Amino acid sequence: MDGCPAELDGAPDEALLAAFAGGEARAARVLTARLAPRALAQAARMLGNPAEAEEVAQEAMLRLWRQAPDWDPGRAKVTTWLYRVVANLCTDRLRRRGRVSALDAVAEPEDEAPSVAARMQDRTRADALRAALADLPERQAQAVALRHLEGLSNPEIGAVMGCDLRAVESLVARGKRGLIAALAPRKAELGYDDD
Amino acid sequence: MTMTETPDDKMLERLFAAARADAPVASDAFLAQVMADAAAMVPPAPVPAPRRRGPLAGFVSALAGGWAGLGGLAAATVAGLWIGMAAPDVLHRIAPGLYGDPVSVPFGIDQSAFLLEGDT
Repeated sequence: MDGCPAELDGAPDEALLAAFAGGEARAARVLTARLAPRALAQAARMLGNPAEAEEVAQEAMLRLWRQAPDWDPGRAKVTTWLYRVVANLCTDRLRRRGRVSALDAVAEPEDEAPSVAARMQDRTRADALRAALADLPERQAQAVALRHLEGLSNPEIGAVMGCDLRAVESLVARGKRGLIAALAPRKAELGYDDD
Repeated sequence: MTMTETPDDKMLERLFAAARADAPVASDAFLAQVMADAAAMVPPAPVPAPRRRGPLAGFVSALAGGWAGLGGLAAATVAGLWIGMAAPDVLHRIAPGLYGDPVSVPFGIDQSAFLLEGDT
């Protein structure tokens, strides 16, 4: 954060966005450091592909810069807005992937060292989960990802998705049932024989 | 209310944990690209409104040929002032070059016309 005054570093996201809209380029530097890694992590958890995740996070941040001059501070928190944009972009991509399982895209391990094998096992499990998420109805996939991958509370998910608590609970519960139905037959393949 | 966690629930929780751990760290190149996008889109800072000129100033400026005309006018004014203030000896030095050698023109009366015959 070189060259950023302390008042910018400590300012709320909404104030920084307003400063950016007023021509303060340094505000974008602070917002980028705060929000871009979070958007990237969200996209990566949903998509499982680092390159695609970077594209999605960059696109979401671009939309944020574009939105800045028209930002309505009373409408939503910047983080809530960004979660929604990233989730929408990711579910679009997951749907476009269709039923092509992310599992197919996983490279075989080149090194048989135990740590590498363990990492590949984790990667395989994560990819299997994403493939199952891709097959869920869009809003169920979003609600499950926001709850269990991003760790948002149900009220926060309601704010992101524009629905009430009961709808969030229902979407998450139905989404999880759908995931179990899709993944339970693959238990052995995913290394969960011992359960 | 406590719900019994089934093996399927446990499996799902572990799958979620695996996906949560599978997030990349933002690279410098990625952050630089996001910053470059922002730099290209930063709205221009508001600038103070330009001072308004009276209609007469605009008219005079246009009459003199705009800024170029006013510049020439200023140069000519300075040159004229220098010529007017310069010492006369400078003018004496440059005058022959401009007008040729000085010529004396007598304005006196020719006395010989009034002499009588036999006078000398």
